[in-house]
Amino acid sequence: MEAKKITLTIFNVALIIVTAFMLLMSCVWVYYKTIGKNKIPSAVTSTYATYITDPATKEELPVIEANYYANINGTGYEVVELLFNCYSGISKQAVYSRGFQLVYDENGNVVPYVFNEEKSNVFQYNKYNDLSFETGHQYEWGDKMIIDIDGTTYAVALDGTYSVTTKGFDLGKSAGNFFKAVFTDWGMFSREEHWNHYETYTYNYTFEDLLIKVKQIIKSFSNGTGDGVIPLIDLGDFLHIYPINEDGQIAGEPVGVNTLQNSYFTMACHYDNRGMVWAKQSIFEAVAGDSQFNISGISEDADYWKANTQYTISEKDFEKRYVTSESGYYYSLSLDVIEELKNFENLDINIVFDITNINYENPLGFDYFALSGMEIKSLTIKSASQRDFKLLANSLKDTGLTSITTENVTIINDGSGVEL
Amino acid sequence: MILKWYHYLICAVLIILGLFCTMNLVELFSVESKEFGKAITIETKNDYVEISKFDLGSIVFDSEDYVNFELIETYAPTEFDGKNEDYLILFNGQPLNNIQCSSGKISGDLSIAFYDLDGLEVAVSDVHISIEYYASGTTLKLTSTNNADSMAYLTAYTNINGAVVKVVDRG
Repeated sequence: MEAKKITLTIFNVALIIVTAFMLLMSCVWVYYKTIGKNKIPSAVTSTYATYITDPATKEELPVIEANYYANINGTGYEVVELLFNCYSGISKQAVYSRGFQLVYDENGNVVPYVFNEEKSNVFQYNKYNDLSFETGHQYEWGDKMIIDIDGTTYAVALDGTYSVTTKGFDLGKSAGNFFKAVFTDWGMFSREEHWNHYETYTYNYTFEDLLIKVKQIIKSFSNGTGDGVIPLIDLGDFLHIYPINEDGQIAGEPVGVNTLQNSYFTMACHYDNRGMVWAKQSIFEAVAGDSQFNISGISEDADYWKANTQYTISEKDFEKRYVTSESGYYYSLSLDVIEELKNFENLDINIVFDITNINYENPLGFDYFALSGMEIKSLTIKSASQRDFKLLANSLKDTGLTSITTENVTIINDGSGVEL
Repeated sequence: MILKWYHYLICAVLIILGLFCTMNLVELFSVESKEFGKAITIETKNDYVEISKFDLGSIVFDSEDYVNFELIETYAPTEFDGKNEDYLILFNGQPLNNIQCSSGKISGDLSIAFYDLDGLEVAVSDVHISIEYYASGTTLKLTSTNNADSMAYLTAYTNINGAVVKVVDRG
């Protein structure tokens, strides 16, 4: 009986000690959740959403594309556009792009467009795979868009919030503090907290807020009309990244809960000082939902799909290799030229190889892999007097050429990689 | 020491509450900085040194006689000695052909081919661009060498893409 009593006493004492410890931990928790929350060591979660790959074309698309027409010249409309390139679903079978456009009128006011119950000023467009953009899709706060980060599937959502604190005169508080201030501390009169009450309201960021932020970013990065890629912009206040659970569902909480969240995105952008005057200047080929918008005076007859700059390469851009047995030279495109041409996109390369200008070298032909597989639109080989010109093995391989234009030249095709 | 049943109940509640708080504190203090994905850097495609830049906005070839269309714009003076023969003229970042360079003057030929959705060439627009550097100012001259139909495509192109001419040194 005595032993049982001692055991119970020991148990009760232990229980009280454990309870006291747990009470202490609860107090510590309350401290760190309130006045001590700034003392929690801060960790940072950074996500880098850069490009997604189109499963159909294998093309890499920047997660965000943006377009800003500043209308500095006042001849058109100020327009900000934002396009998210994302997938249609977690299985990433197709690209489903979602776009947002903010249009300002001649006076710099946002053109209002009552699109949904929130009376958003933002025009919305969407595009499934390579079809043209359509209006009608309604993206709502918190909707998830599927992207890819370094081979792993995530969802991104506009679900950021911000807080605004307002102050107002507090009669009760003022009445209580008035006498205290008069008799004890005159300094209280100059301290607003003794006379006002404060209320904090939380608001959801909208796509209009995001577009205005993007406009500021493009303006601060740009030095005039042109295209560029901003590799890292932090939109962590607006957008959060969500992991996909093991069961294939989007997680309820974004990555980096309890940490500072930096959501970095790569943004391809076009900045233009001019105003938007033609729907074709828009990413969505529409202004305020109007695909026929055209105040440019340009005829629709001059419509085109692609514009390539023509660039001509001559024999001066080739390097030569001397062959003793034939007492002459074979030519290959200079590596410097190849490297330089890699700097340019949308270039049609034409080669005009004039043997007459290098006749003294006794040119024999194009060397092995002479054009390094570079895509060539046209090749002309000419000479003032009749002569042979040999194309060594693979000299034209992977150039896309199907024919050669010649003047006074007989081609000897020695396995160039092209059937002539 | 004798405890009543409700003492045990209070202890149980406090222990459960304490456990929750302890676990939450552990979670708060054990978070680590993490990165998902990789930051990318944009490689500088070239190390061209910009000598001068002219933002024309858009070019409207509205003359009926496009073959002789000339656009002359004057800008603030810029130094250009033309001694280095390694200059390029870029139009919207694309290189011009036949660069000719001399003291205070540089010129080149722009040629843009336009294609339809089937990949067929529908027009080619050719413009000779010359820039002359004087002490009083810099003159940019564009001269078209095509018919009206071709130049209409270039007008449309510059309306969409703008028209920025740059003179750069390959360095």
